[in-house]
Amino acid sequence: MISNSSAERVLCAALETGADFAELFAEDCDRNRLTMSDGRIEQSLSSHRHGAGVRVMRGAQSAYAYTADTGEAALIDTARAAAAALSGSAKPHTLQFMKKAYATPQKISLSGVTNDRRVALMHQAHAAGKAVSEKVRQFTLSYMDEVQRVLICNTEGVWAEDVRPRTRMGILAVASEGAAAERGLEAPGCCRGFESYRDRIDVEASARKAAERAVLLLSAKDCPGGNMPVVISGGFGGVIFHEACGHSLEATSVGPGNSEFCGKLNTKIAAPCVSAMDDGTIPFEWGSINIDDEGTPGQKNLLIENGILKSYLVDRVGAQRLHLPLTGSSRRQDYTFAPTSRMTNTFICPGKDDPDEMIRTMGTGLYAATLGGGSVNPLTGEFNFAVAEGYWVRDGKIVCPVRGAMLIGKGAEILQRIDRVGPSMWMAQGMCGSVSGSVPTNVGQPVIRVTSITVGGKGGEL
Amino acid sequence: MERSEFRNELFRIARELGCEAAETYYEESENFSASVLNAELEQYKVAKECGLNLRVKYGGKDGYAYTESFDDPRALVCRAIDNARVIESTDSHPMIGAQSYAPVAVRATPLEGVSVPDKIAMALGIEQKALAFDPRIRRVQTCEVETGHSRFELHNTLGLCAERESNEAALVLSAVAESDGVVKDGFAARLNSRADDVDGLVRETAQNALFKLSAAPVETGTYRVLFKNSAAAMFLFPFVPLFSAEEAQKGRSLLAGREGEKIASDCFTLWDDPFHPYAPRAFDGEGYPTRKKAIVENGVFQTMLHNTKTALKAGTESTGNARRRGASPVGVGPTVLSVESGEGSYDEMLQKLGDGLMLDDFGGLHAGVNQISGDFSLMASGALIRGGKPVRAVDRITIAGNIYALLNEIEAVGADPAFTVYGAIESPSLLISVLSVAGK
Repeated sequence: MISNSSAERVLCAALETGADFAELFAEDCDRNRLTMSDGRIEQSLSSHRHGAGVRVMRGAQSAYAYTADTGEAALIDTARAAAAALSGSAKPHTLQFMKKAYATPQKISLSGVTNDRRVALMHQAHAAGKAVSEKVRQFTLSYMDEVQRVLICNTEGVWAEDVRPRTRMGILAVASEGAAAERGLEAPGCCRGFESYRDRIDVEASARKAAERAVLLLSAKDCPGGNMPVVISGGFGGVIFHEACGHSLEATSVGPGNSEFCGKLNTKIAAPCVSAMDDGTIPFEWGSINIDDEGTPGQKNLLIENGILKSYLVDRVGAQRLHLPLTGSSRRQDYTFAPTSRMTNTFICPGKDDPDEMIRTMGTGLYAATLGGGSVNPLTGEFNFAVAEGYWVRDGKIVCPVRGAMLIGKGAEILQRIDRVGPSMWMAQGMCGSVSGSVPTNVGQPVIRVTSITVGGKGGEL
Repeated sequence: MERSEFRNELFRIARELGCEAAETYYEESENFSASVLNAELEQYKVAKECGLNLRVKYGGKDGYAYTESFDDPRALVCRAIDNARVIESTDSHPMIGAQSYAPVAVRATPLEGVSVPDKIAMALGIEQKALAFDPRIRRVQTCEVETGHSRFELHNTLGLCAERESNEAALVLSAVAESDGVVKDGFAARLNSRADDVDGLVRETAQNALFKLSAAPVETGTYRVLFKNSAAAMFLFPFVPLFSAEEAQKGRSLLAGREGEKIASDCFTLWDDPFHPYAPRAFDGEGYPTRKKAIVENGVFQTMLHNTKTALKAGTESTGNARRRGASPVGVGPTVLSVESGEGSYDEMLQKLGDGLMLDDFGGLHAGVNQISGDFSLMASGALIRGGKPVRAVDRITIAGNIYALLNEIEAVGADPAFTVYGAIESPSLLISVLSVAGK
């Protein structure tokens, strides 16, 4: 992508104004996207993203410049544009790169797959989903695959190349009856080649699930609002931890003092039944990484152990501010963003409680079987997320499906109110948006119970 | 390869390989941002982006291929043709030839010509003013000055040539207030023509953060509610796809086929205004001339937004609402949306509200809105109002309802329009007669 000697000259230019660290990130990414509507391929696009960014740092100060032109002259200009943020003179530096190359294995290379195979897969999903019910009026499928090739090198001698294949299918079913219309969404993804659809992802099952949820919601009643106990299922339910806690453990928030968990390392921040992990090393998983976008290998980070906060997610700027080691958590959407601390595969670890007992003994409240997305203000810990598939529970028994529920609360309070954690954990795929763009992440958890949470909904008594 | 040479090569190769037509959409931008923290430069960004999206018409179908490196025109054309080959949809998407456009002046922003050191000094000055505003303002979270310049070009083999430029500027401030162990943040931004209003920015941010210090939920129940101007705009934004003919034709808008029907209160009129000074443009993403039109007028639904493809399918004319961005295909989107002002300043709207809730911020807009059913359930914050006066701040509540019902519950529209930072949409404050709230 870029030669050793070119990279050296670019990094030297970046150091001209007294930076104590400089980094070059170059990227070349091929992506294919197809969309299907009503069983017909409607759009097909290919894109080739290509560019590079140079970051300079002095202490926790950083400057980033990027360009789509990766010729040496343009890169040196870009390095100088970043360096212009500092004023000083170059310190002596000798550069010696330690070269490492990484690549996620692919049995069926995404670059070699023809559109015909992608199209066949989409038809397969469509047929399975459409067969669920006549009430499913509309099916929109979006298929995506990409292979991102990156080079990260810096003035500390890191030279890391990585090949990152990913593929995902988004399935949106719309069911309607009379004037009512509801939707069901599934979006399985994997960090491997096209064999993912043979070995890991069952698109037919996902399409059926999306269709069934849309149909189910047609008969759902509006969820009542108020404070109540909530049992949250596994998989995408883990978005509660992602929003309520994960973002607030990112050094981006903790470093400048903008997190409710600042200064809380080795103190109790959650109920004793809660342990949580961010693990970028799990093979195949959507949020996994070989190396992060600063070149640090992905790692397993125990965030909370039996309620005690054990680690933050730390990138290079965060390490400067917090004086903590890097955790392999620095990520970015592409070269148009400087990297920052982000999550990978984040989940609450399995416990020992029986999910049936959780519902049986909860009294009246909500069982959230599938969650939608959410967001958080890390400073205050106030989060919100939508319940995609919910059930009303009265006297420990499931009564009926409910729609339109939103859960809100404060992260620190919710973590203390988890009183049950089930024995098996599973994960689901999502895209997480933050200051360094949109990155693929997994969320996960076993079935858990929260003793009290504010549920928003417009329904009356059920 | 030079851009025009690359384009000519693309067109030549496309014809050679049997394409009926070819079109390029080129986008380039230069952006700068500087943010400060603790009286020092914290982050600094200089960006140069460019990309070209090729659309070919091959066998009557559209294929797209996008690139950011201009070195291999043949590969790009081949990829686009390969994409056209798999299209199964029979909907035709016309490509249009040369057009004439109304002249639009490139808008200058107040930060035009301001040097980099002066922009940094401006950011430092904003931080200083924010900290000096009140001793309870402890620090800034984000204090950023941004400027940008973009250029768009559309060309095709049918003779279309449409080019435009735009300038952007923004001041963004988020500050943290702390008192008696309670920590809250306030946020405000000043965009484009208002990007020199430092004092207004600081005042709004600081007052917002300080006011929230007293916040607490209210009892669960139904309330009369005032959506404050920029929050009203922010609330409406995720529902904009309901007015897209593309969404309607895909069965994802309950407004499909309801043109001419009453869908909102008489006092509600919504414009799509491509010539609004906020972001004026004379042509859309297909090069089709734009025009101002009411989407909803006095509560009556007037028109869906169309590009040439959806218009052809619906047997109507394009409304000049083709959207095009980066590597994406031609879609449908609004230009600048504007809710027509009614009567009454913000304070007068509070008087009209009397007893109820004023809401000035929403959370969960990307997840808590069901664009299919129109249901929404959102986190909200604002103030409890008694006799037209704020009593205390309110947070950690949710509001829930349905957009189709809510549009008919709009009792009054203020005369205090403001934009949201989340999209090109402005609204005055909206008084809603009844809304479900979950709190304590």
